[in-house]
Amino acid sequence: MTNNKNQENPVENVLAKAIEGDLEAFSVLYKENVQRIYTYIYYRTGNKHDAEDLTARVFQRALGHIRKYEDKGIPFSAWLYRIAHNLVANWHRDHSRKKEISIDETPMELPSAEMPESSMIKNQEVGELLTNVRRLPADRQMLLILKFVDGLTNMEIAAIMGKSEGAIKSLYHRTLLQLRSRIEQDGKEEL
Amino acid sequence: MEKKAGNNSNQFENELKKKFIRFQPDENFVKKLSDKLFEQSSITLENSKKYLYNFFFILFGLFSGYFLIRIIKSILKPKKQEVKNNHSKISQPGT
Repeated sequence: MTNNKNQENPVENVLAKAIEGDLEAFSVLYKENVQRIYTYIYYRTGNKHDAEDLTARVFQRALGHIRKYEDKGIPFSAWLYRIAHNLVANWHRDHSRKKEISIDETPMELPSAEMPESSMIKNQEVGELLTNVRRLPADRQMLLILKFVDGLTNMEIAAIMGKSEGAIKSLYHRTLLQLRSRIEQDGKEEL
Repeated sequence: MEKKAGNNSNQFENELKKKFIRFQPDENFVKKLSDKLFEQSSITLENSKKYLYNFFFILFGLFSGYFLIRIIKSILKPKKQEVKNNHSKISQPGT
């Protein structure tokens, strides 16, 4: 029964093989998810070096624990996001100990090579927005990234964050209000 | 009034959609990480073979050492007996 189901769905088939320890299958999952995990970590850390380091650790940890993974019908990326979320939380904790200046106050690095079409002004606007995003609590940052970068639905985000769809909907509205008021406040301060 | 607020929030959402972009990781990094992740098992195999090779080498050394000692002992034993026999002949000259 499960085999028939796996034959019908290639994604599930790949996942099942990866759980059994098939490295080739895991490499397919790696290629599918590396960009989204990197993007998530890049938004949360604000620099390329740490984003690469933590992305590597996410996949190393995932590979080490793949045999323990239980397929509950939730997207595989949800598991990777949770690993990334925990590693980023540890990273922030370690950095807050090491640095006197809060990392949230440091401006976001936006390499021009990654956005060749954008002008300096747009870069600055995006940088300011992301700095404001990074001042939000971790779960709200995660929500915004999943919503706007990955384009996921509330239901998918709920599965990733381990919350109900209703809770995500209400958290989303509160997050938008908080972010908006912060941006407006920043605008007033600049004037 | 509520409609205006709704329009504003939609506008804000649209702005966010435009500003949030997906970052492309460095191709070298993706490749290097892939190599690191998926060549791990072959490295482990190599290591385990090396370990086995060393183990057999030590085992061979111990056995050959043991047999060498036995051979040396067996060569020296008859000579010792000969020396003993000679001594006994010297100590009994009158007989």
